[in-house]
Amino acid sequence: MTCQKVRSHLSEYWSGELPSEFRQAIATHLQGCPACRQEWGKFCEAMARLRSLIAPAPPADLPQRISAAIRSRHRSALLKKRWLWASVPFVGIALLLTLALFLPFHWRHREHLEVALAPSLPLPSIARPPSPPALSVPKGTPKEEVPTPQKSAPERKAKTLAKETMVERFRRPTLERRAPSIPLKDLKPQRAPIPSLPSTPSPAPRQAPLLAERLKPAAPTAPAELENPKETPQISSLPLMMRRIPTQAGGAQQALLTLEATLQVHWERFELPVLNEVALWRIRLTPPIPCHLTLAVQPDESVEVPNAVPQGSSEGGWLLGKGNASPQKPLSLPLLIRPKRSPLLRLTLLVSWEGQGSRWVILSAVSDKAASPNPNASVTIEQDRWRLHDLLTYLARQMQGAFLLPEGRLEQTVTIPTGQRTCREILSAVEKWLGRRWQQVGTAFALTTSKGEE
Amino acid sequence: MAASQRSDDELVRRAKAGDLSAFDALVARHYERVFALAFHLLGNADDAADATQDAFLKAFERLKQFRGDAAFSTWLYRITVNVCHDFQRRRQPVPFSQLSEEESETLNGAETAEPDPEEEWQRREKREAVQKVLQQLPDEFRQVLILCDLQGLTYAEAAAILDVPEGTVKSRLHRARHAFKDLWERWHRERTVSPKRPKGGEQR
Repeated sequence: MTCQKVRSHLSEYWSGELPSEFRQAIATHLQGCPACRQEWGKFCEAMARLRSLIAPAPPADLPQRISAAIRSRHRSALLKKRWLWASVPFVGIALLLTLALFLPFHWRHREHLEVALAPSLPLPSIARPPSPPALSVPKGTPKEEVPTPQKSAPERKAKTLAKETMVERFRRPTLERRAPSIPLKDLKPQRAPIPSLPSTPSPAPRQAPLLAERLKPAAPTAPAELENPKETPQISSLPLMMRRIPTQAGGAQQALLTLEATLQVHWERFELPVLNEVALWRIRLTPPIPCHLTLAVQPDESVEVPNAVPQGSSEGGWLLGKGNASPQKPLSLPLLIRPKRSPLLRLTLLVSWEGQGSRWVILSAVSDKAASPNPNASVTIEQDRWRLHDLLTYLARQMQGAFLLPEGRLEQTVTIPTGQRTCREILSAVEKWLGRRWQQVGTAFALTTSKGEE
Repeated sequence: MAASQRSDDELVRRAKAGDLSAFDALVARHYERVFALAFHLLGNADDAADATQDAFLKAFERLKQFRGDAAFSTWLYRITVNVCHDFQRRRQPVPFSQLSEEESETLNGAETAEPDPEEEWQRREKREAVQKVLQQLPDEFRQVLILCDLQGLTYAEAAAILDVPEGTVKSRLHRARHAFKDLWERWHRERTVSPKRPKGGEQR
């Protein structure tokens, strides 16, 4: 038996887990080999030291502290329940307001109207879009600015064309398992001539006085950002789905469909008189194809979402809302958010379409101010191996930003360089490790699926 | 064991029904071991007390989700490990190279107050060094070492707590022991080569 083999089995030898012959062979080797005997001695000493470690007695008042904390939590849960009932009228008002706000957008999407948010609209502090159409325009009466939703012939034609393009994309069979990857930008549905997608910049920006009248900015935002439509945080275009679906065609060799699409996420935060410390947010999800969306929030001590309701444990999280959505009919959900210390929001998005499904997670710092994310924030990384979930949670808090990625990826382990780094450097190291790209969408970062997921 | 298990189940059932005193009884029964686990995972008593409180709060909030597939203690330890994992992430770890100096300062301050400085110092030094060397291990190694070698749990229990197969626990434990031994040796070597602490005898 070699020295190397003996030394690699010292742990099992120490805890007596080896078969008797093996154990005997090691004992014999140790008797005749001084170097290995010395190693064995060091191993035994280290283990003895480890086992001698005794935890101190817990603080005497710890059970009382725990008991008090639990009673306090219990009371606040009861209060929350009562408050929820009492706040039904408020929530109703909030929902009505949201509906009222949503309507102009809805018309805009349907009819390709170019109505945009007023420059004074509060910035969403979570997902910020890359190229949104926030626009400022001459004032006028709402009636003048929102034309009646009448479809014109060219618009109908464009919409039909968009639908055809979409259908064609989903039906394109690929016989090769590893089809050459097509650059994401070429495949993004919003690049296709779909007039209803809100990411299309409005050539003639206008003001939406309805919004401007109803809402005050939640926090002062830099006007310079609003003047540049590319930086206006209204729309996030996020890569969402990329799956290969086996089809019946092709006999023994099944053909595979490549499905690629993007989802658009709109975040807005409004200052409404709901209750102290509770702000109204709105998230609007615009999928590129008709599908069913379920949005849930994971319970967390750092943030409270009073309008989320518990659901079955198999679903995970508290339900915010669900429903069918399509490019023409986005799913718009209000969120009442009460942030606490270092708040972090974890949302789970379940997307189902044509028997397919995928789960996505949004990890986002929740700020009560419309702060911009700071990828140059400095962090100290002492350990090189991280669970992706932990790393992104840490980075989201440090840079006050948000991340969107497939739930399956959260458990993945990444290796990053240690030391004093900026968040940007860490994210770029994650890119290299995963072979994916981060796409910055306003304040959010999404992991692209351009190289094909799974 | 079976009796305490039955009793845990009964307390859980009552706590689920809204009986807070039943949950207090569960706290009284388990808080010492939860605290010890948190102390070993985090390396200091203040954080361990906070983590223990957080773990029980989380357990209380999620009690309805506990279906009794595993023992309550296993479920509780699992929550504790996760809470400590989050604590660990939130705080800045101390680089290994800085440990000796920091430790010297603490120990020098304490030394003059002790009746037998040399002996007391050596004992303290070893104890704190073990704890700090333990903190230098990667999470997955530290967890399995603490659960199996310090808390004395079986492979099956550790596997249920860490949510990994039993075989993974075994192989991880053996690698963790070797890693601990290497770090311990390194610490010992560094202390021997460049002692930074003045001799206890000089104080006398």
